[in-house]
Amino acid sequence: MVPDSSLSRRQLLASGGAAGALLGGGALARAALPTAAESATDEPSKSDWPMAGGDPAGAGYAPDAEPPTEGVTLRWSEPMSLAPDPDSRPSPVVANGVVYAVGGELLAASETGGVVARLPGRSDTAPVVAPGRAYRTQTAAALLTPTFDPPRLVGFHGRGEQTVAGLAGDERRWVRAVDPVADSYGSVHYGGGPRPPPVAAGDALVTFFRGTLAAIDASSGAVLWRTGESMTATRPSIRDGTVYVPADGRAGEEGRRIRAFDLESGERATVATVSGRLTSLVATADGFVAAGDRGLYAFDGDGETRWHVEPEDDDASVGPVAVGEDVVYATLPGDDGPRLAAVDRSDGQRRWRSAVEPPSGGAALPAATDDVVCVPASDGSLAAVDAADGRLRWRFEPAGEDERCSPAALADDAVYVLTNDRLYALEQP
Amino acid sequence: MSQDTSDDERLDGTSADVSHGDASRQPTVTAGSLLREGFADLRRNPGVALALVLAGLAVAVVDWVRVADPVPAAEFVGVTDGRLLVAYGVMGHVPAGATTPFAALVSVRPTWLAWVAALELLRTGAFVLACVYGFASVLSVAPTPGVVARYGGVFAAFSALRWLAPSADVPLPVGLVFLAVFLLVLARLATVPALVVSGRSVPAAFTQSWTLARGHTWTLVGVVLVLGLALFLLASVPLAGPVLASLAVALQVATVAAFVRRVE
Repeated sequence: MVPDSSLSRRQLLASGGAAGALLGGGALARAALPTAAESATDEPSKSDWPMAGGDPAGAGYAPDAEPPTEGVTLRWSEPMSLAPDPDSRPSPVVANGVVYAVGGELLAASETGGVVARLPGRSDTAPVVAPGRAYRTQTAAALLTPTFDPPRLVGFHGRGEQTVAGLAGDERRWVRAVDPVADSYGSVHYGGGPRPPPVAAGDALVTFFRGTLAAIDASSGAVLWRTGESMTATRPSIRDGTVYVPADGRAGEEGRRIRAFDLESGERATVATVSGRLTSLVATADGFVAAGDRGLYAFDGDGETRWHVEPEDDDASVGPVAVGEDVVYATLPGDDGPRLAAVDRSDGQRRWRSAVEPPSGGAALPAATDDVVCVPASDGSLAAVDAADGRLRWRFEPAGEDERCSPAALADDAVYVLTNDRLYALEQP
Repeated sequence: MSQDTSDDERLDGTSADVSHGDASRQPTVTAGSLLREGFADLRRNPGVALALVLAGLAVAVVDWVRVADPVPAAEFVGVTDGRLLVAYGVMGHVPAGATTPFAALVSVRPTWLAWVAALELLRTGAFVLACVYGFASVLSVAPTPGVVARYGGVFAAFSALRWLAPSADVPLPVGLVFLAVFLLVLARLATVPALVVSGRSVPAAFTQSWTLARGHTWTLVGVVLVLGLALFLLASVPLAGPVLASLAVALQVATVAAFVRRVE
């Protein structure tokens, strides 16, 4: 039998004090956490290509890169496990000296050659690299599509490290489940499967998560916010702390909207209503450039149309866009079929139309510098055309008979491209 | 040391009685009577429940802070996910809402490693102190720093087992076999914390707990099931889960102590 022992006043006061101290300490810690995080290491540099589309806006433009212009030769290549879908060739990405490519595995290779890590997991969507605040190395995230389980976004240790104080750990930092996106334009634009690639902006990854747009902390994998509405999954375009995505209009409305979400809070606004479906959107300093089934558009910041290039064939859609300083590159339909073309960013006037034909599966994202524009071609090669006049500068034809090139990644002085089963690094001869 | 020797001698006697199947010499113990006695003891000694509620609050606050920091944390998935678990911890434990998997510590910066370790220490320490206080109160013994250290060591060992143990998907029949073995082991070790607080060494506490449970295994399995399920359901409540689940741990402390008092 336990003797009766009621609580004394002193015990109650002490308990109240302890509870207050715990709650107060917790509140203080939470308030201090955002500023307590150390500055990120391994932040991608300007000459990197850490995500599909090159930068958060998805401009596909790398002004600081100096890729080959006069010809191309092989720097190195690495074999890859076969992709689950043979038509899936997501763009590689590059950050801080490491090149990442996905297929039947996630391959991390050094920019100078040599495998950094081979990480398990199948994916048909380009990976993304972002700094991990709590870590000494960057986070490489990929949308994995296991054979039997639902898709998931997995954050890997960016350099494939796996041990803690000599004890074997795991290559994964975090895992978040991502349901399939039923309606998506991702396969057309980024060389991948039905899911658009995640986009990194600062410490956040923006992706489609369980059918809605979501921001995920690249360090912890925590979901920062999710939208309440489901929308067609298109690569988000992020600029100045705002995430822009095309969204369906309300019931009964014909137009489509460009939605804006605050990157920190997820607060939503509508910035433009446009006709037709937008399949590619790039936020610029003064508005938007977009492509869809009704042509190529430029909008100002309020959504007013600046110019509109209509396709000559009503059934033909305009390919995804890359946006340079004063020029827009996109695959435009014409009498001789779709071709890579350049239009003036200020008025939409055509500058040139190249002879490069897009792959039969659909146009792929161009990757541009001020000198060349690289784009996969119908014969499986990667073609580089002169940015000034559209003339073919060089063409890379992979060795394998059935090998077909992905959209390119431009970083420093090299071009990286993935084929069905091999990752290539190309350089000036 | 002398107390250990005398306990062993006393234990040998009890063990011999039980192993010879002399039911008339065993105390009549049922899961229901133990839980009722534990509940009555808690009402007589509300300080035990209060101490564990404060420890539960420490766990909840740590969870609240951990979900906002940049180190990955696996979230506790409760009954809302359609699962039902026996969340019984031998040393008294509530499922943490946010725990960092071992793999997520690879390449983590020293500052954040220290941060995670400090918060783990806070919630572990809070529970160790509350459990030692609880057992000491209902068993009417005076805890010493050595007892707290031993209790903390065993608590940490069980936590490490939970943290590092691999998980695997197995067919249902295999899973049921594992569950049965798991429950039997839990039942046999249920009195370890009470014996540690009573002053036994760690090896003696394990040995005596195993022996004391003989003849009462199914009773203790019942206690483990009832308390483990209650703990899981209470822990599934958003935010306040750890605080509510700590009440189940308080009942566990009092119930285990009641069992030890009866059969020892």
